[in-house]
Amino acid sequence: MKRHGGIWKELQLAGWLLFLGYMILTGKDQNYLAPLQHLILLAGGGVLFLVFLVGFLAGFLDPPQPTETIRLDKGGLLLALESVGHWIPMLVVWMMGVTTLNMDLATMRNNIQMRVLDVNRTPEDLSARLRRLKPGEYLEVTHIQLYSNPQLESNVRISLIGRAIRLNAEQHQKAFPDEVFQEHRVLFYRFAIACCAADASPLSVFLEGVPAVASLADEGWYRVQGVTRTSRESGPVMVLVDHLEEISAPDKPFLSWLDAM
Amino acid sequence: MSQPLESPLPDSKMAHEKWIGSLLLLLFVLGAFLPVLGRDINSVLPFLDRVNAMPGTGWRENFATYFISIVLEGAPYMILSACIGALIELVVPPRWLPMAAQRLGGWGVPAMIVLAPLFPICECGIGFVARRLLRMGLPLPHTLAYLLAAPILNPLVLVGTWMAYGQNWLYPLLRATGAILVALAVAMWFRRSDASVLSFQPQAPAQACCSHAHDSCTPRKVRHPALARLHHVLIHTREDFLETALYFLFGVFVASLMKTFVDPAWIESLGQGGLAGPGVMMLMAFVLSLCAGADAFVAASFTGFSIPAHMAFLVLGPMLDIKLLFMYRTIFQRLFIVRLSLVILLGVTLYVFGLQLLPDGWLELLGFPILG
Repeated sequence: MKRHGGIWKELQLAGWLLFLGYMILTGKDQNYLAPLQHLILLAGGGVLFLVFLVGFLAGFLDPPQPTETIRLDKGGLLLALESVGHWIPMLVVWMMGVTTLNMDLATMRNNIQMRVLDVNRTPEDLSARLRRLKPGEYLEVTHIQLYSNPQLESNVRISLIGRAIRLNAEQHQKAFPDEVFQEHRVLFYRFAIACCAADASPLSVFLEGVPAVASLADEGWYRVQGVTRTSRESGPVMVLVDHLEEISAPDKPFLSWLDAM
Repeated sequence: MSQPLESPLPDSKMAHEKWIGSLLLLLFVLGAFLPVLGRDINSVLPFLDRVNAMPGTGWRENFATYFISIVLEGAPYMILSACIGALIELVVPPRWLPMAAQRLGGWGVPAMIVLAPLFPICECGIGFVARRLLRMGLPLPHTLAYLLAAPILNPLVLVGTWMAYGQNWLYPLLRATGAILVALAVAMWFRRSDASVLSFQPQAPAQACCSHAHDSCTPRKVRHPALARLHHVLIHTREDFLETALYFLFGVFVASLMKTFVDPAWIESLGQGGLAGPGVMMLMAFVLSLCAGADAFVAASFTGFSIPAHMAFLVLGPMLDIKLLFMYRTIFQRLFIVRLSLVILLGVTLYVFGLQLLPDGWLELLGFPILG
């Protein structure tokens, strides 16, 4: 197949530029990437823009040859089809909007992890901050902090953001093998990433005493305020709920392992 | 410009693979996501609203999130690596690499591994540099050694491994050792292979950069040396990036499907023992197709596995996974990729079993604390 040259390549490149440009300029890339990867995306996007610009300007300096024009023969159609492939990422964004991971699938729900980040590291001493908490005040924490700082594991008033899902009997049995099914327990999770959403690990706590469990929006975003306790040694953190309010999705739905270190 | 820019891959099979891959991707995306849009087909506005809609639930969202995030993460590395490859071609004299390899003889392969941390590149972009080095006349074993070792010997990757495993130097040390040994063994295994395993026509070193005459790289009106060089680098960045981008997208597509539908807990349940553990972790590394900079954070969460099993994951992942299989297609013939994959698997397996043969308590003897 004879390659038709520059014009198709500019079209292919335009698909990539539109995708990266849209994600960067709207800030949507931060829904998918950790901060360091965001900087690398800026660098890569900048080089791609330069590449596109140079190819575009070269078209002015050297007018296209007849073989470089778009032709509707078989070769041209196949190149058009090939070029569509370069627009697939943008097409997915157009069709699906900005997405984030959820635990709706069984494969995700079965992989609930309560992972301690770093057993050798001395966590931040929160004693002074905890002492300064006034009655009715809650300490803003993340799921990562909850699992990496033993000071937070019990009897601390915390405020936490995450997504809620109701447990079925089977999931409850897996998390609490020695206890009978309790409907008012809710899984409250958030994903943590190192580079991008593809390496996301779910971190979960269990909420107890949730008011009006039936009215909870599955996979909805909530801010919970309550008191922590650990169910058993090295077991999941539980939060006895004082207040629960539905909120809009945060700008950065993923927590970053590196931010917490 | 007297000639249109031609593909450096003259093989028409590659062109067919591209449009077929493109068609498959398009059909999947339309088939999977159009039914969702169909719910809002009564007017145009709901469709536009969806672009900024709140995240929903279900497999489509998970698939789209995996797909978009891997593309967003990998594409910049590919662009920057393609640019580095073009710069190397510009800076290194045409015949220097084959001459240096010949002069170093058998030491050339370990020399490439030693040099790898000086040119650290992630595995999404390493293919560009490897292709460029092959075009410039670097022998295949030398290039293979660099291709396999560089993503792991990247200082950022090793520091990431150190952080993920509780700031314990044992893990990056064993990972780097594994990368060096496996890359060396694989390179030596293939030292008698010739250029027929490549998926493209290697060029004579004098015109190694591309498959067309150098004059055609630069428009007639751009003749200022510095501008001409910049133009040369950027145009070759474009060529290399576009040649590989569809293979990358298809690899990401398959990896995203696997990540969406294959339950890591199910793979984990296949076994964690001395024999099954490393095999399971290798399968996990292949299926999950994680970036080398992030894989340690995921591997560290599989606390039920032994250290050798963790090494199986950490050493194999940046050398062989679903995404890389497709990326390798832009460098090697299919049959060679199969042989290469098997030899990598063998090398990693031998390294892992070598670790398992060490006497009990050897880590404590070396003074390394063990993660629980």
